[in-house]
Amino acid sequence: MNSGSSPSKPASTSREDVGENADLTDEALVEKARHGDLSAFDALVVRHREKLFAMIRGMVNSEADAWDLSQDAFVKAWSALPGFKGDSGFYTWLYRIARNVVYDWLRKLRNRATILQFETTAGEAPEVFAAEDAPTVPKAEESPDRALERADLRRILNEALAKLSDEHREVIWLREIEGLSYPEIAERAGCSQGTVMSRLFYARKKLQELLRFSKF
Amino acid sequence: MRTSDEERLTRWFDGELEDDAVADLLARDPGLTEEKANAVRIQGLLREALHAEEKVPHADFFNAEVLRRVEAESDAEAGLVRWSDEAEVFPRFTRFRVASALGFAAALVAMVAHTLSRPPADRSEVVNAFTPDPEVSATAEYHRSAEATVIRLTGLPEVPAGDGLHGMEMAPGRVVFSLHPMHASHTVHALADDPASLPGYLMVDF
Repeated sequence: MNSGSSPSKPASTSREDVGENADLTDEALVEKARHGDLSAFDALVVRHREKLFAMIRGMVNSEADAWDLSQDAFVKAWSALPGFKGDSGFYTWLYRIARNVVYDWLRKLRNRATILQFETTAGEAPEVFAAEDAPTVPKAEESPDRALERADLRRILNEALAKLSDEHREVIWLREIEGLSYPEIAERAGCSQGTVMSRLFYARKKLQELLRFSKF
Repeated sequence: MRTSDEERLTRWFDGELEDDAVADLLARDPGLTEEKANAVRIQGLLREALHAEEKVPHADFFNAEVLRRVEAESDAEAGLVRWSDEAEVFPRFTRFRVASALGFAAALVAMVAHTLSRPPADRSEVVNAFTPDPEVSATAEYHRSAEATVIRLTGLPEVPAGDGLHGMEMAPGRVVFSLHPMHASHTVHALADDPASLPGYLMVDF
């Protein structure tokens, strides 16, 4: 492999490789991946995909789009691995890449929505986010009633979150769902702790307004 | 509202404000208690309904797609590196002229290839497939009268149960479908272009 560019193509990958790598730390896997070991990168994907996918789904409110965007983030991460200095943890670094992917996508979506809105006949609002009707993995322990109620709650919360600005939605996700501290959120979002607290304040206020008349 | 107030209120909602500062806040506005109760209620709802980790649908196929794209990028990059190494033998100006001519030719070839490779409006095709069993393969064809894509799986040792097939539309005309037979090693994930948007038929060859 040449050290100045992306890692070269690996010899092979298989599920067994992921198993062998399962006990390694992120740092060790990153080091192997930087030297072209795709099975090590596969193990990193397995390790972080569920967290990254959940965050992106929370940001874009669409399972299918989150699936695509999560892949985009991992592929970009692979290309950027030679530049990874290890100043932060791998997931924090990956998160920043995913954040850029998501923000770019949302920006393009809004531009497209603006054009659609211009072209749409009066009173007919364009659909900004993809319909959330894709099949999801069922939770075996839940009763059907409880699962429906949870799906309903989830839909209402996702709709409310979609109405927040990208920055406000992000801090709500990082604080309320991932439970990060203010310094951790500041590191992920690339802003000061004061900005994090200010965004949280206004995001919570807006969420309260949006959910005032919900049945939950 | 001053910025410091926003920060104080946020810290209070999160239980991170000192007691005397809390007393000071409540003395100025007793109504804040209700606001905090509301924020805590919403926090509870968010934590109940949404989770920091979520199962990725078709997880094996997800990884296979990531690795396929990474390999494709590595291949493309290797090609570029080889070209730049060989290019060192030409003078800079010659390199520029050769590169321009090659760039134009490559663009032309890419354009023609793209036109030729695009499936017709009534044709389905499997773009990529993943299965742990190397004996199993997937092809697709479009059934004109039924207006549906027929997914043909070859190499499966058993007829899977009727509810074993799941489809998820990734974009208009592009679908991921997964088949989960009794034996996990025969699971198949495939990404297919489908003019009707969802595979409507499943055929299994033995």
